[in-house]
Amino acid sequence: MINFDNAATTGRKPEMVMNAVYNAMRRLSANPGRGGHRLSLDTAKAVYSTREKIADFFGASGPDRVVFTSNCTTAINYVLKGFLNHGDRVTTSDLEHNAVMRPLKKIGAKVSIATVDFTNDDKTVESFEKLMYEDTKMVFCTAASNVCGKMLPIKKIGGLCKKRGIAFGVDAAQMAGVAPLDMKDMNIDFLCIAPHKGLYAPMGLGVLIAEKEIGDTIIEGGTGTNSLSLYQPQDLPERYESGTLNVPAIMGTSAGIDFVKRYAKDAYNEEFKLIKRLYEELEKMSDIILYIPYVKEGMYMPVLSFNIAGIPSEQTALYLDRKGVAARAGLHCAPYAHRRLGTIDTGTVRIAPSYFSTSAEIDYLIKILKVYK
Amino acid sequence: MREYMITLPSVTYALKGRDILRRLGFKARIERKSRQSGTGCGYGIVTEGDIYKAEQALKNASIKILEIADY
Repeated sequence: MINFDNAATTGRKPEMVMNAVYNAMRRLSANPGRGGHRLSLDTAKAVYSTREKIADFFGASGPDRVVFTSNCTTAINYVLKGFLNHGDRVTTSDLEHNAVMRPLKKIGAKVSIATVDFTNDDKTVESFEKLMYEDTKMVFCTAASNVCGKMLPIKKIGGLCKKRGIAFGVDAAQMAGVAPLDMKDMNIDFLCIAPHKGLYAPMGLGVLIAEKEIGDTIIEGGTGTNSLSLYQPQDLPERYESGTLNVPAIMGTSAGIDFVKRYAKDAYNEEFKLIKRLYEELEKMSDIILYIPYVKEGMYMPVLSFNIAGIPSEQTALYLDRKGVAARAGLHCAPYAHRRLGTIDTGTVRIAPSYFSTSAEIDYLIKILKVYK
Repeated sequence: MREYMITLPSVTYALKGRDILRRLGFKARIERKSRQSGTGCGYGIVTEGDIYKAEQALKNASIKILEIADY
């Protein structure tokens, strides 16, 4: 099976990640931060080393700012529901995933939606700036659309937030590990990550890096410290880590970062070449509908949505599946992005390569789309 | 040499503190403290030497110290 559904989770995991997970289950099968025995402390040290590695990789101030969650959506929920209250004003983009929009709806925040321009990032920044009011408490947006791949000018938006004293949170599910992200350089206060995507880690783990205090908790429970108190501890990361951590996935993330640094440093450029080639070929096919004006390095992630005219996206994906290609069709949990693209009624077929994808696989995809009946 | 236990809010801070002290040349190891100051479980760094210097180094790194006691 050729896997082009890597925006959902990278389909092929590196051997070194699988070995790290296996070794964690064999050698680090103790609860970190709970017991005082050597095995528990060894596990805690391994978890701490991963926090250090993550902080370093994403330009965070220190390992204690790195919170492990059960997935990226949980990380986003922690930030939005901890930092914002009912009626608070927040600015976001028109390309957001439901992981952002649903919590904002639940909170009852006053949401202003900035327009992302597909060809001119300065216009995107202008749109955000116009929607930053005196009482705007937070800007929270995706780093890149999971539907069309458009990258947002995060550094410029972060700069504006800093200037105006507004907290800035970023959903980096699609971008973390694939393209560079530096919290300090980009003035990001809260970064939410899905290690099972661009870092090639196992599913079942999210990461939240919080440079500002988040505020209230939405999950309370045992943290291994201050046990006689009925109140949640104040200190990060344990305040937001009640319950047992997913140590195998954490160790897989550690190995995933090593993998990206050692082998996949150039993954963005390699994957982008594949998407560019696909875009150029699809553009020549009269019955293919593309939704972005072009793909350009530094402006788009290697993710591409399309449809075959008159064919439901699910039917196209089913055809691809029968031909041995995995691609995701439908709304990709991002109805706002689809409204923006004009595909809310049809959805799209999304192609997302990974480091392991090849030009031969793209050639095969092009070939079977050419003969679609 | 006289040993001290510096009790910290969590294992994360204990490990962070341990690394800071080691970088400054202190001997430092982590130990579980089963009942710290009547609040429940916690972790501490066992160290020796100039405890005031150690305390200051941790405070400079914004590490909250819950207690320092003879070990």
